[in-house]
Amino acid sequence: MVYIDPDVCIDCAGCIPVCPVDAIRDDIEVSQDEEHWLELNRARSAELPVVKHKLEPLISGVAPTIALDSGQ
Amino acid sequence: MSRPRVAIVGAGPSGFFAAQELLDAPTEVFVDVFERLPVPFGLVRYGVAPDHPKLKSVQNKFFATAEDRHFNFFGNVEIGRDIELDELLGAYNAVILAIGAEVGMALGVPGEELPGCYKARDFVGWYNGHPDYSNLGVALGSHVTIVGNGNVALDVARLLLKAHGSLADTDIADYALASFRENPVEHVTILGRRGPAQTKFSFKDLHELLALPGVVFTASGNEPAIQTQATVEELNHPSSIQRRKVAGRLSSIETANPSGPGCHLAFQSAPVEILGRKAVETVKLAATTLCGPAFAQRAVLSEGISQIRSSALINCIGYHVRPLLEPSKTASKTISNQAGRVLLGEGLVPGLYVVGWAKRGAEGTIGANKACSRDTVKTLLEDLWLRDISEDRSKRFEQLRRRLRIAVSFEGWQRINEHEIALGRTHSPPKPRTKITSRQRLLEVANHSFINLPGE
Repeated sequence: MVYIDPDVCIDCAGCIPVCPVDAIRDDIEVSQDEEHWLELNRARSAELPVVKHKLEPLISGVAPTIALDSGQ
Repeated sequence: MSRPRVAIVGAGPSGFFAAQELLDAPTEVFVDVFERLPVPFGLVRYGVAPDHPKLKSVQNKFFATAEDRHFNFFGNVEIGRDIELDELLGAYNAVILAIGAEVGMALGVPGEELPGCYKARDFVGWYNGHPDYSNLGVALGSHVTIVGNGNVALDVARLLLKAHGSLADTDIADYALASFRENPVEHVTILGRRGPAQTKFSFKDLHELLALPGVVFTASGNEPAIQTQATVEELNHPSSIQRRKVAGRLSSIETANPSGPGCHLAFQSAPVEILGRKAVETVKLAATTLCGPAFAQRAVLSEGISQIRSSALINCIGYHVRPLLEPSKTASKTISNQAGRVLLGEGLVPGLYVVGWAKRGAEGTIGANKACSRDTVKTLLEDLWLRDISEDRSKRFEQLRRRLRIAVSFEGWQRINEHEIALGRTHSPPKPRTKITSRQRLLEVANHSFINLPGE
């Protein structure tokens, strides 16, 4: 899974429409029970390397049913 | 083999992202960025709304790019005025056009030339302190009509409707803030030819507008009941997540005629004529109907004609690209290209590339330029070995460099930057910066040749 550093993010929202699985929320849309994701993103993005190239989509993200069917 | 040199025309986001990609590449190159203004950052400085400071913070990345010792900035150098594109192509191994889309599209209706009719680029440049537009002489009056359903329309509407006091600690031009304070706008009407499902609004920017405290919002043409079959199809498409959210939010605005001060969003409504004796007074509107298949619906004018009182009109319908390659031609949506390689007529122009809005058209936020510039740079690096690194080229490069001694360097810009930040600090309330809005003054500060004027 990839994370967004909330301090470095410029809030341009460019990632939101291109995310194939609609996983990215703007802070205005984060509900109370989702708020822990903000801290998690801050912590994990500090620990992980910066993604500079396009990643292959996670198979579970593209089609969970296919992943389940193929036993992955 | 000597290190190849790449020139980038335009120091906005797409130009800076391309520069960073080149400097990160395994092939070691020199990068020279040319900018027609004395200052860098393009629409980050002169397009992004003053109340969106986080979006502007992308410039921290650009400052870091400029620190690379293989990077050079040449401000106040205009292609076609100071140097020719052919000279750049002769002196560099590759040239990237990052010139954006700066020609505001015309509405194409009678009365468009009346005073009080502004193009978004001019108006946005004016409140952002752009030296070319700081003398625009804006007089809006109480009833402003905004044409267009994109994020520029939302920015303009928000700034007009926001309590001016809440803009005092932004880097908005002082004269613009004074103008908003002295002549508050009471009514804003936003016109869209098509419906809520066809806007280019981002949900975030729409949310920000509709959440403005104390502003009454009304809308027309936003009832889900009047949606065409094709619109329903568009909204139900799996790729329409954002579209559904935006349309849903717009449908929730009360469908009513405006009864007092506030903001009215009129959908399926197009301006057909702008009337006024000496300046804009009235905008004549035609209702539209949507025709065509899903995702290709067009607005066709229908019978219903109405008029709205309007003391100013701001045209936010979009931008075209300046025809740099063929100056006699009219501006077009993009510079023709194949994967970023510039096409002229049927053939490729060897060594010439394009990024950003000039490549894709005036759509997408700042971040979209990063992937766009990366794609073009990848292509450029694949081609680079084809381009000769001849003695002639080096000689031409040295000649060109001598002529560019008068350009504003990145150090010159840093002097402007520090000066503006210092001025902003003395402001009450303090501002992130007070922009210098005259080209002459920018050059003086950049070149250290200025005298402190009293009151500054």
